[in-house]
Amino acid sequence: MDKLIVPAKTEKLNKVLNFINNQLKTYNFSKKFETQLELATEEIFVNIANYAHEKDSENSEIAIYSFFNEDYSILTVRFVDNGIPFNPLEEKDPDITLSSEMREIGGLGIFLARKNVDEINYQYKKGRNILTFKKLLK
Amino acid sequence: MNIEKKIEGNKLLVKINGRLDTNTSPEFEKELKNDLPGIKELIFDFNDLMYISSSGLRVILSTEKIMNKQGNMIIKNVNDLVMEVFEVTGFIDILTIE
Repeated sequence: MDKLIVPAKTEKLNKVLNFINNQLKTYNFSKKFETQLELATEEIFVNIANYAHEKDSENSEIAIYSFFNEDYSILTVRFVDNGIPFNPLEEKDPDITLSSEMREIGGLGIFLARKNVDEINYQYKKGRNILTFKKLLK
Repeated sequence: MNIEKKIEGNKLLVKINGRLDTNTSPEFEKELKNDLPGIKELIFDFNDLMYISSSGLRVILSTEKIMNKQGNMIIKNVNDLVMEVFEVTGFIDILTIE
């Protein structure tokens, strides 16, 4: 299991994506898998950084763990942070059938994350937000 | 991300190269806002757009709303990876994609 700890700031997004991608380099995933993985990772990381942490807070960090199980071809990515209790999965899905005039701007991040992973769950344990997703290599 | 813009009268052509993500979308939005007033036809060339996340979709939707009032907006040359995001989010039904 690989681990990266970064300040809970959206500017760290590229560092997070590099960490996730570097670990998987040896496996030669498809571009489609890579894009879906980047999407889920970006949306979750940015949500946690924006909503579980005060802006400009000095000691808020997000730890990201990544593990690929070769036997089952399952990638597990976990985000652990010490921010305020925040469950991104409580956000309601947007109505994607509305016209452009009726559609609200925003609210698509977690929806996109969900659509691009096979399993996602949230726990609050010992003062920490723990969000885990699993993605099956198809 | 790199943005190329070409204005011909009230027509604006915008070509994006790279990624529209949380960190690049604000710049994209700022670039567009400056030129939109008076534009009747907005054409996006997404041939070299490799990735779009919700922050990019947010700019696309707000621009679509503006253009609905003052003219029309067309998106061209969308690749498969970006198209999949448009499909999943229902954007494929509200945008004019050629």
